[in-house]
Amino acid sequence: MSTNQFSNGDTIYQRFMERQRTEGLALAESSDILRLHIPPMAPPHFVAEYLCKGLIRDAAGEIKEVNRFQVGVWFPNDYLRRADPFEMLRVFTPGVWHPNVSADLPMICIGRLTPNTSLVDILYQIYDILTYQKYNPREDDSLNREACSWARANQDRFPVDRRPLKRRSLNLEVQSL
Amino acid sequence: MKKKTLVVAGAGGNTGSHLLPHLARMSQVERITLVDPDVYDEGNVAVQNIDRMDIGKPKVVAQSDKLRKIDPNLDVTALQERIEDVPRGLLRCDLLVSCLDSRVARQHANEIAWRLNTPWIDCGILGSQNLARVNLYPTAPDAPCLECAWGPDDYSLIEQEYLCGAGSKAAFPSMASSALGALAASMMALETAKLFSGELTEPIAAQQVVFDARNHIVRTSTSRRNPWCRFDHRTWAVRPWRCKPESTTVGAALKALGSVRIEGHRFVLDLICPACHRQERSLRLNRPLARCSACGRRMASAGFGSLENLNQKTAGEYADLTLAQIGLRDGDIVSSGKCEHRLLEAA
Repeated sequence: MSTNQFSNGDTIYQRFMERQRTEGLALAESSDILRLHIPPMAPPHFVAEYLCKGLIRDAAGEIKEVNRFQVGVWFPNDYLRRADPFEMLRVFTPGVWHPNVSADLPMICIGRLTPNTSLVDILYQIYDILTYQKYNPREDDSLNREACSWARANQDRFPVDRRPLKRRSLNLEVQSL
Repeated sequence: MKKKTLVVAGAGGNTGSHLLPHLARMSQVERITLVDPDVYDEGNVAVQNIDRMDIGKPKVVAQSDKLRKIDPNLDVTALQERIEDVPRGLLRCDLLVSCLDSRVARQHANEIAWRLNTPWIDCGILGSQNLARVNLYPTAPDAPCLECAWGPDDYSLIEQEYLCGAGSKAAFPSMASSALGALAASMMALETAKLFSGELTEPIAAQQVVFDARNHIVRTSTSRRNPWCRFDHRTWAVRPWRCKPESTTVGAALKALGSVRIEGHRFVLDLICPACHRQERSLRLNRPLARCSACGRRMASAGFGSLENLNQKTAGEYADLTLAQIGLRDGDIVSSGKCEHRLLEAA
């Protein structure tokens, strides 16, 4: 019975995961900000480390700038057909201060996620949130309402990091004549 | 003639409620399993085949009472839950009939029909244009499935509940008239009768019939297997495995089967409550997850850490829990190893 396999036996999902791994590592390679870790339970697990500016609220309640975040991305085996971003993502950095990130649960809201969205697209969406290039200004569907009100009052501070995730390639080699 | 068994998903809705009496009157039908999570409310009386006495009753309960009045000998089972949450073994039948109102539920019905190697009839109605549609999906090895005809846009329209409410696309009522639901129901009943009488001899092509009641046009089309379909079209060979989920431990199951997977679900290790923010570490099947013991909101996965498969390495520390404690039920079909599928049956 034909089961949508490639001639080497790969399923469409395996082929997809292989591509995400290659593209994700290529993005990290061309970024000064992103590092992509592939834990032992790979292939469907990735931990993205962002060396970017963002905000946390510490135990004393003070909002301060930090420059390192870790977020896990997991692809379930039916990801090409249905996707629940909350099941896939986990914020490992505690205390992230953002309307789209829960204050005490490891949850981040990147908005609607269409099945089959690439790892690279997800990594960009997470980056935009961590650096306040994007945030949800509506309290009623925010994961952190307090941060949401705070963000509206402090819009002049955003984004806290405006660098693009991918290094702009400037090829300034001087050619010897 | 061999008597037939049927599963009707979305049994109490606009089309389902009109379809059931037709099915109960077919002499070939011996058993009908009704699946629908909803309860009748005021608004349903306007378009569904019920009366005011049914308001407040679970749809499957109200409908099974009606079916028993039509045929007291009919074997009727009522399951008040979403089709994707029902143990797959309870859905084995000669024909799966679905009258569903969401893309995600249809996607699950499609998957279940293939796994159980059951022919499937789906329907849909579009009130704004007075369209009634019936789709026939036979089980031939190279037959197309629902998703064979889907493109990226179809997948992006799949309803998904978001914990932060970000653009949730819940299914909304079709606002179709009772007459249109009854039309789709009659078309389905006729196809069912043809299938059972042997008039449709296999292999039959996958067919779609659309009745455009506004312009009096009938359109039929056939579809073909899409080699790039995102669904794998695998079917199961199910073998019984006698055990009681209440007394069999995870450890014993792993010893007997090697690994345990319940397709369509995952095992969650870190549970969180989106309402009161309580966190809990335990092993549970997301069928969906149980309610929070503190506030009653349904628990969610903390993300990233769910397991598709249990094996000695991943579930060792939970070996003493029973299968019932981690969320398995009688009738669940356990996939273990590469292609073995076993049915949990009470001893």
